[in-house]
Amino acid sequence: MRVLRLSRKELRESLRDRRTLVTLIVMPLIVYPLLGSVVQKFAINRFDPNSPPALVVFDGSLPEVAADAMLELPESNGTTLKGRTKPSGDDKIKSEEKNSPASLQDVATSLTGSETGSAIGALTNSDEGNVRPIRLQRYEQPVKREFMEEFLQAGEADVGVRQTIAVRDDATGVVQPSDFQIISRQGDAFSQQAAVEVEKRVLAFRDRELRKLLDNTQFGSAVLPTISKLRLANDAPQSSPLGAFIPLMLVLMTMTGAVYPAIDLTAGERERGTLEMLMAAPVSRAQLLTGKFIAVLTVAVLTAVINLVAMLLTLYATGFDRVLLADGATFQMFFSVLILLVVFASFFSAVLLSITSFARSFREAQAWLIPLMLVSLAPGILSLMPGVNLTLGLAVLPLVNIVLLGRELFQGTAALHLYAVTLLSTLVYTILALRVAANVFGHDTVLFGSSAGVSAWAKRPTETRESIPTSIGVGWLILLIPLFIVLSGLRSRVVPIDNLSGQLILSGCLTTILFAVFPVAITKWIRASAVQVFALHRFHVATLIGALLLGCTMWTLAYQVLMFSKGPLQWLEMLNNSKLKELAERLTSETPYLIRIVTLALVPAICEELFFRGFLINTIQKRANLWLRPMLISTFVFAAFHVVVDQSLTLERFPATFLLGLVLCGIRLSSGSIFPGIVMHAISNGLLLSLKELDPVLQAIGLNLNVENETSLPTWFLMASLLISGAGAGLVWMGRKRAKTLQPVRERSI
Amino acid sequence: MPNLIEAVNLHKTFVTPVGTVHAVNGLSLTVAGGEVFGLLGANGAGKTTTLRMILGLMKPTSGKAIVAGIDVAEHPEEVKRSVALVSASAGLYQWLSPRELMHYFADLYDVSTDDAIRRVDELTKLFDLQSFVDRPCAGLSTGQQQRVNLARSLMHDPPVVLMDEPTRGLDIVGSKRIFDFTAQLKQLGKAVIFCTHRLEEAQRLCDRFGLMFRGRLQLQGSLAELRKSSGLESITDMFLDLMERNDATTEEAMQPQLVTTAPKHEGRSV
Repeated sequence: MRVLRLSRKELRESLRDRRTLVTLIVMPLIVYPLLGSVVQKFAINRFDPNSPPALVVFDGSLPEVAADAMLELPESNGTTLKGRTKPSGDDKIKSEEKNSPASLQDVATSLTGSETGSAIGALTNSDEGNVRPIRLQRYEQPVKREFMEEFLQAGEADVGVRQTIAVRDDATGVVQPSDFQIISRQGDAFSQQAAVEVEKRVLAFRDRELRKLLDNTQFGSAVLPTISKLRLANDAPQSSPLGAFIPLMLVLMTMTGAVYPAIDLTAGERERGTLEMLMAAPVSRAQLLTGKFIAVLTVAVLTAVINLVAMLLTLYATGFDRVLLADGATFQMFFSVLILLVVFASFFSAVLLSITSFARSFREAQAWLIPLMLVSLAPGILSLMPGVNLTLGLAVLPLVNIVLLGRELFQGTAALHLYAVTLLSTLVYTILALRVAANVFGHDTVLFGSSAGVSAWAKRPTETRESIPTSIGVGWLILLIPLFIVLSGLRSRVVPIDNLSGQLILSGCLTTILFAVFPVAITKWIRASAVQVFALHRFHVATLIGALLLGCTMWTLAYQVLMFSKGPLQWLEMLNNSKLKELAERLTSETPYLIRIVTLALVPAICEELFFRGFLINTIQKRANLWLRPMLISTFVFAAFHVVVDQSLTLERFPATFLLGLVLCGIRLSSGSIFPGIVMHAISNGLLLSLKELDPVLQAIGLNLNVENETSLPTWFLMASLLISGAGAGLVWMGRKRAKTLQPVRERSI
Repeated sequence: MPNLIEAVNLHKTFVTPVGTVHAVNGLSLTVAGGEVFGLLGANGAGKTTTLRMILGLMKPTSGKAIVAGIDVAEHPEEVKRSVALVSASAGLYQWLSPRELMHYFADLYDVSTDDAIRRVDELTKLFDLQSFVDRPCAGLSTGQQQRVNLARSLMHDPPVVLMDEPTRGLDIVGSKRIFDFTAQLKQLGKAVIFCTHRLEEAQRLCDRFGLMFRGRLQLQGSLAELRKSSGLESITDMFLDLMERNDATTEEAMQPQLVTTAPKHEGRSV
C-alpha cells in the first residue's frame, strides 16, 4: 500500500510534465493518421489506372502497325496478364490461366473492392502473377537508332526498342540473328518496370512469328510447347510482409513513452537535488524504486495502449487492416497484442530504471540510453527478416521474443505455448532488472560521486594501489567484447580459412594481446600492484598436486556435461552441433600437435587465468570474505566468451565451460594464486586436445573412450574421474591460504 | 538535557583518481537537547560529510555516531526517523505543490494522515506559506523554496535537526527568518547542528561551536571557552588565527587533506 502511495506521487509528477503528455498523447494522435494518409496517397497514386502510360519509342525498323500490335500482345505463349481480385484472406483464389487472351482493359476493371487495399496488396505481394497495371503506348514518332540513348536520357520516352535485322554472311553462310534491344534508364523504377513489360511483349511477338513459321512447315505450330499457370487456394491466413513493421513500431513507441519518465524519476532526482532528501528518509531503496517502476510502467502502458488504438483505428479507416493483418482488426488480436505490450512495457521500464539509476544527470542518462536504444533495434530488424520464426529457444531471448511474437500475432500464426514462454521469460527478466536497479538507485557513488569526465580516466594516478578500480576493470571488459568478436572475425582476412595452423597461431596472439597484454598494461598504468591484481602469490604444494589431479580428470566431467546439455538445447532448437564437430575434425587432421597444444592449451591457460581469475576477480572482489559474487560473475563471463566459436554461437559449450570455470575460480580463491589454476587449465585443455594421440595408449589399457562418436563416457571411468577430482579438490582445500594471507579488507572504490 | 547527538572519532576517507582524501579525520562532538551546535569552517572542511555520517547517509571509514541513543551503523532506519536534514542544496519537486510535497514526506516518514494534515497546517502558518501552498514549486522564489524545504523536513517533528548552510542564497530577511526558527527549535528542546561559513551569524545563534579545518575539529566549546583559550574575541578572528597557525592560505584551506601513500583501509571514492 505504501508503495502504491509512493507511486502515486511519481505518477502525478510525470503526468503533469508537458513532455510526458506530448509523447503519451499528442504524438500517437498525429503520427499514425499522418503516416496512414501518406501511405494511402502513395499507394493510390502508384496504382491509379488513369496514371499516364509508359512511352515506348521505336527506331522505325518495325512498321507502326506492327509496333502497336506488339505492345498489345498478350504474354508469351498465350498466357495473359489477368487481373486479380482484392488479395484478402477471405478470398480463396484458385485460378488456372492458360491461353486465355485478355486485354489490359480487363486488368484495369478487375481491381474490385477497396482500391487502396488492392493497391497495397499489389505493392506488397511478391507473387509474380500479380497485377502490375503499367500501360504501354508507342511514342508517336520513331527515333533514329544512333539518337535513341540521348532521347531516352532526356526523358522524352520511358523505354526504347532498337531492332537489328538479321544478316547473313555470304562467305561463311552464318546468319547473325535479328535482335530487339530494349533500352531503359538505370535508377528509374518506372522505366525499368516498363522495360519488363516491353520485354514480355517482344517475347510474345517472337513467339507469334515462330508459330507462323512453324505453321508453314509439316510440323505446325503445335510442336511448340505452351506455358500455363495454376495457383492453388491457400487456407493459411495471408498477410503482407509489411505487417512485420507494426510490432516493431509499437515496441519503439512504447519505449519512447517510458524513456523520459524513467530518466526524470531517477537521474532527475540527483539533478534536482531531491535524491538526498529521499535517501535521508526511512524508506528502503527497493520500496522507492518500486514506486518509480509502477509510475514508469503506467506511463509506458498508457503509451502502448494509445499507440495501439491510434494505429488500429488508422489501419481500419484506411483499409490497410485487411492487407496488413491476417484476420483484420479484431478484439481478440487487440487484447493479445495489448497483453504482450504490457509485459514488454514492464520489462523495458525495469531495464530503463536499472540503467538510468546509474546516471547522475539527465544528460548522462541520455548518453547511457543511446546504446540501449540501438541494441533494442537489432531484434526488431531480425523480425523483418524472412525465415526467422519464433522458436522455443528464441522465446527466451529478451526483446527478440516480444517482436517475433508480435509479428506472429498480427499474422495469426502465434502458438499458445510460445506465447506463454515469451511472457514468463520476460517477467523473469523484469524482476532481475528491478533487482539491479534497486541495488544501484541512491547508491553512494551516484548520490555523492562527482561526474568526472574521460580525462579523469586518462590521468595517471600518483599513488600505488592494490586493486583495479571497478570502472576501469568493467570498462575494459565491456570494450573486450566487441574487440574479441570483431578481431576474431578479421582473422580470416589476414590468414586464409583453409590454413588452420595459421588461424590458430593468430588466435593465440589475439588471446595474448586481449587477455594478457592489455590487462597488464592497464595495471601498470594505474600503478596497481601486479602481484595483487594477478594473484602472483606463492602457493602450497598440496594445492599444486590437487590442481594436477583436477586437470587430469575434470575434462571428463566437462565432456559429460557437454553431452548432457545437447538434449535440452536441441529441444530449445538452439543446438549448433555441426560447428564443434567440424572444428574438432579439422583440428586433428590439419594441424600439427605442437601448434594445437601451444595455441589451444598453454596460451589460453596462462592468458585466461591472468584475466578471468586475476584481473577480473581483483576488479570485482573488494572484500576477502565476499567470494561468491566474484566467482559467479567471472565464471559466467569466462563461459560466455567460450560460446563464440568461429563467429558462431555454440551454446552447448556454456555449461561445461561454466563448470570448469567454477573449479578454476575455486582454486584461485582458495589458494590466493593463479599458478595452480594455470596448471589445471593447461592440463585439462591439453588432454582434450590429445585424445586422438592418446587413443592407442588408452586402447592398450582396455579403455575405448569413443569420444568422436559423441557418446557418453563409460560409467566406471566417470566414477573414477569423480573420485580423483574429489581427492584433488580436497588437496586444494588443504592447501588454502590462511586468513592473514588473504587479500586485505578494503572498501569499494571507483 | 541528555546528549541527542554523539560523534565518536569519526573518520571518512575517499579514494580519488589523484589520491586518497581524508575528508573527516577523527571528529568527536556531542550535542544536547535544546542546544544549537555551530559546525563551522570554510568550504571543503568536512562539515557536510560529517552531517551525512551522523544521519547515516554515508558510512564512516571508522568511528561511530549515536543519535537519540541509537547507533547509526546498527539501526540506520530508526535514526532517520529521528533526524531532519535541512540542506540548501536540496531541491523540490517542480510539479508538486508545497502541500503535496509535505504530505509526500509525511508518508515517507510514516506520519499518519490526520497528523500529517495537522502538521501541514501548523507548518504552513509557521513558515508563512499560505499564499503559495497550493501552487507548483516551480514558480516559487528562492526564499519561498527554502521555507518549503524547512517545512517539509519537519513534517515528522524529529528531536534532532541537521542544518547544512540553510541561509545560502537568502537575503537578510530570509536569513533572519531561519535564525528565528532555529531559536524556536532550541526552545522546543531539539538538538541542532548548524553548519555555516557565515561565522558572524553563527556567533549570534549558536550555544557551542566547533571549528573545522582540513577535516579536523580544531576548536570546540562555548564562546566563552573559546575566547578564554584563544585570547580572541570573535569566532572569525579565531578561525583566521587557526588558518595562520596552520600556515595555509584561504585557497589551500579549501582543499581537503591529500595523502600520497595508499592507506591500509581505503574508503569510498568520489
